[in-house]
Amino acid sequence: MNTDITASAKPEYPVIDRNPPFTKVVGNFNTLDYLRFVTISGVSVTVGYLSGIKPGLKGPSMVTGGLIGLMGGFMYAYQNSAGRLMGFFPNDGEVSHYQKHRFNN
Amino acid sequence: MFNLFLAVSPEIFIINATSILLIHGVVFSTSKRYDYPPLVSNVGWLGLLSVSRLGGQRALGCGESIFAHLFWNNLFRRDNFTYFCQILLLLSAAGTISMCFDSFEQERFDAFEFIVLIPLPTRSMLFMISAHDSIAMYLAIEPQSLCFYVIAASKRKSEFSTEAGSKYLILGAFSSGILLFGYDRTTTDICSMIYGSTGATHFDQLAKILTGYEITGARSSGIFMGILFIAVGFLFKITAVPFLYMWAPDIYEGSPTPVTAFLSIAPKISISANISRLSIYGSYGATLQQIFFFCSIASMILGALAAMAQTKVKRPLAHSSIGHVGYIRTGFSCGTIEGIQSLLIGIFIYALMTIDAFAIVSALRQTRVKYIADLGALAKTNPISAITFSITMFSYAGIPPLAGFCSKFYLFFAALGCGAYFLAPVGVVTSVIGCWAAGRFPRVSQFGGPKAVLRAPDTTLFYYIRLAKRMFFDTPRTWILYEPMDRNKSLLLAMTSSFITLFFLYPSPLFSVTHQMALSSYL
Repeated sequence: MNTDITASAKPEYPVIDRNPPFTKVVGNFNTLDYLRFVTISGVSVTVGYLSGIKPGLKGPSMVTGGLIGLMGGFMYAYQNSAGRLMGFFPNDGEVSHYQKHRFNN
Repeated sequence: MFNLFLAVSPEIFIINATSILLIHGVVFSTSKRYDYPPLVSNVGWLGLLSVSRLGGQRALGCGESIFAHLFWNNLFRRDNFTYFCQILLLLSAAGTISMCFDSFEQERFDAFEFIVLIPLPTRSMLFMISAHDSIAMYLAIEPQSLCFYVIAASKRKSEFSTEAGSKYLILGAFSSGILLFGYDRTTTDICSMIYGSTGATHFDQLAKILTGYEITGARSSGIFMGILFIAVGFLFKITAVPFLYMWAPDIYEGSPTPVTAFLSIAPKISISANISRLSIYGSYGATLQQIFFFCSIASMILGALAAMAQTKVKRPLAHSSIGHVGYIRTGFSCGTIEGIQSLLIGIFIYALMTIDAFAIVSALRQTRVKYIADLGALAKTNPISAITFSITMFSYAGIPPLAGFCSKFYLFFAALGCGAYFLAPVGVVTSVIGCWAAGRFPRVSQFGGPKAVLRAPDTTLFYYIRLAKRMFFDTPRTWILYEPMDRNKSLLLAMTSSFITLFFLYPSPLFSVTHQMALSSYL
């Protein structure tokens, strides 16, 4: 069974890794990815805290919101990072980094 | 290996978020330490956060437009058409959740599970919209339907709610059976349908096999019956006439108001998207077109006529939903790019109008307003709500220059463009037929005889405009003190009413976006 994720349409940008492993994708997080991750987590924690005031569940609600935000933020950042490595998103930074890495090696 | 799930990470997120919310709800609603707190608003806000985050991510685009076009052994497809429908679905789910907070608190309906049961079918509908295989589509329909049965009956102490859930279960089970009958590949003792005749379930394969099969004369009774059953199954699901539409008002009336709003919008989006993809891409032909033309006309006519005798506030909206299914089917029935574009425009505007209408109805229900006669004092005590409601009703009726007129105009324009010269005038006539029919029968029943019709006062108008007449022109029969609307509904109404009122000033973004989406569905 073909479970390959790559699209039938060709990637628009240079492909650095067609099927990057988990560690490589996480290692490829750039500043914007971390910013997205932190923003989504922060907003979720805030919403969780504020929604927990009325029923008297500030702490637990904040934790629940934080969990949802951490998961959502991480998945969003991962999706963008993997997309850049697979060539679906603009990846000038990755191209220059891996070209430099290849020259150094 | 992890990359296998990248394409469905939104669905995975929403499943995980729902599970976290469920655990949170179960643990803390039964917590003695926190004095068994009511958690509807708490879980509601977190659920709204989850759905909105996903919708925002989709809406911002973020370069996902060509990401994983076909994936998971080509079972699912992602393209601009999918993204548009998914964004609309997520916005509808967010609008539904935001209606729940204060209304459930006022009704003392402390069931956080209800909030959890909105993202769950949303996840199924996200899969359904992107399904590119019959089995994937059916496997997505069933969890969606199951959650709908449960939320329709969520008010356990209400007989109406239980009745609504039971009726929906029977209707849904029957339609699922018919749909599966068209695709059946498991039993061997019944006649072959699509799979038996073609050996294919994937839409690409069906497209290759079924293209032009009616023209070349290579007819097969199995294929014909299979297509017929699939179309009927889908039409059952969206309560189109003449397939079990008569239960839809009962279901909508008995369910809690936010549930009614969700049931009016979400399945229409997902099923319309799915059947568009299946039929236009896979198996469109004269047979299917005729079926959909007939159902469109029947839905428009019945939706216009059936609401005239209604006295409750929610039932005319239910009939309106049936009628609007007919209008939206018009766009789909054309089988052209303009038809799909008009379908998307129609669904988008219909979703916003329905959220608007049900937000007001939900606010009114808090003051025990159930009948149209109870609206008499609304214009005097709460004129802003009355004006907003009137604008929404005028938009439903298709009165220019509101958004409803624009959507109907484009739908009928697409119908004329594909040569459906009978369907377009029927649509126009049914848009105004409620005026004549709704005005005639009550006069006859009240004063007796056809001659009396001319002498009888004009006691009724459009069932849409009748609501406005009741609010602004009639003497109130009951003076009800309408409570102020809560902030969430006010914000929701402000956004949707602004769109409905001001859409005509700048409609081109929606038109160009939907044109692009319609083109991508044909590629």
